[in-house]
Amino acid sequence: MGHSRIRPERYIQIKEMEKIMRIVPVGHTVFAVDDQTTALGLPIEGLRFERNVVRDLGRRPGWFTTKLLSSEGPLISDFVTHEASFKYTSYGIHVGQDDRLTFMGGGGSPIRGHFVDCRRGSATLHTRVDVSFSSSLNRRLVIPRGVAHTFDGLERVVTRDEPVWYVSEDNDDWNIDNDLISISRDLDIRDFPVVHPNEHLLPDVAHQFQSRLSQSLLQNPKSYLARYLLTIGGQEQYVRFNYPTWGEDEEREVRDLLDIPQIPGVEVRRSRYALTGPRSWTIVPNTDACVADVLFLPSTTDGAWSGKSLHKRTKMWYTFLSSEGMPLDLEFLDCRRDSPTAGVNSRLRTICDPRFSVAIDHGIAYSIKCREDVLVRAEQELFVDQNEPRTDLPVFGQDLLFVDHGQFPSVEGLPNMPCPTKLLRLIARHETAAYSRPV
Amino acid sequence: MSLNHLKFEEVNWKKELNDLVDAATPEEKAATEAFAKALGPHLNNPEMLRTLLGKIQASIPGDALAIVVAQKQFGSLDELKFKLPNSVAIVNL
Repeated sequence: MGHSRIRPERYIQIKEMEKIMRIVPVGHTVFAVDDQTTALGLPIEGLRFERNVVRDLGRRPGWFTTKLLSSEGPLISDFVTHEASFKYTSYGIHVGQDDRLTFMGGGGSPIRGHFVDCRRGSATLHTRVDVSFSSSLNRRLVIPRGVAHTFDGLERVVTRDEPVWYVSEDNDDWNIDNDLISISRDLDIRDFPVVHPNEHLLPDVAHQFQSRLSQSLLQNPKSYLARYLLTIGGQEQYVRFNYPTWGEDEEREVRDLLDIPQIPGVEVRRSRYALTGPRSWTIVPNTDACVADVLFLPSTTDGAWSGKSLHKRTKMWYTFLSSEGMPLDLEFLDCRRDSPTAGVNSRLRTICDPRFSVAIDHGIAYSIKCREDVLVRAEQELFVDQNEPRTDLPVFGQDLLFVDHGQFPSVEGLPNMPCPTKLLRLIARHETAAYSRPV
Repeated sequence: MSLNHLKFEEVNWKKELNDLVDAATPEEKAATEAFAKALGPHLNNPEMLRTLLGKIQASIPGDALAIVVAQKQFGSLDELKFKLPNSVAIVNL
């Protein structure tokens, strides 16, 4: 690779990492990380893999088998899909954001990450590290702010980012609307910029504020600006560029996706997203709480369970992140006794596409089927009753009933007061903490 | 009532931001004040806000911008503008 001043074995540090780490140096600076490794330090300070919190949900056919929980921290995630021909020609440096990336799905080809330390004062300034690894729900890659990064092999991969934001006063390298500095991949590493990363960790409530604001700005999808550090007339300055080349077919395609008959207790809405490529999107939260899990739905085979699932306290928002274009079959049964459409069965045949989300009210039983494995973002709105505790309703965290084919579990008196987002975030935090503990 | 899908104009963002600063603990104060200082001017001119996200974008075949910025040094802004294709605009210097 020709950039190495590093001896890989010198940098393999186990430190407080909880799991045995394995690393195989290949050539000078390319590290091949095997599939079993979930926690690992890399030769740029702070660049590391960490173990994710994953729950096994059992093996009930026709239902989700795995749940990837939010990691500890701000509990906010966005998702980037990568189309089949996806390529990067630039590096990016975040000035105010540590990335925490989980790479999911894809065709099983190796992903290659390239990293250059650009932090002023860093002992490894302008050190380059390349890492080869596979997608896995079980680990996330932490990229500290100030470290330039780019990737190859992301075709059809979905990345979950759980950013941690930092702020500073009067940092000329930082732009709050888009903190990313772009760098051409052709640039000599010695010419990479040297930046001041932001200093102060943003409190969680401000993270949530920023995420909600971002969500509101993406009522209509937008592409990003590119920001480069250039020398103009002998002076270094950041220049932002806009090149609106994508999205010509967006409106028509999304209109078609949303054009469905009315279904009792079900909403199909456009997701909030930015354009990351011609057919690649950054999906941001739909809900005020900004909390999401990832569920793995295995492909449906003939003879699979044909029942439905039902929540009595939870409105679910599902976004189908992978297997874009594959047929997706949803069935609904209105179980609300006081509903004018009680007992009505409805069907929705659509395709997997992250640009829309399906919201299913509590009291509506549903099934979701696809012939390919699908990664699904799940967001929740919780409801409580004025007369709690309601012993006839499931407790939080266990609000899931399975309804066999042909059954009609008529439910009444469902709670209708939205739970404060603070409480929902607290529940998510508790779940993460509970499943982080070693068994 | 659904809490989802915020619209920018339906929220008093400036008030919420002020409330965040007022409610900050001593440990959070420096961060929250720096955040408010950085974001405040944008809330006064919301057209300055685009996504509040930073992501690397996919490459474009024959990406003219990548070719131009690889040069890195320009005598003047006009020289840079002259080299850009019509589809690429410089924003908000």
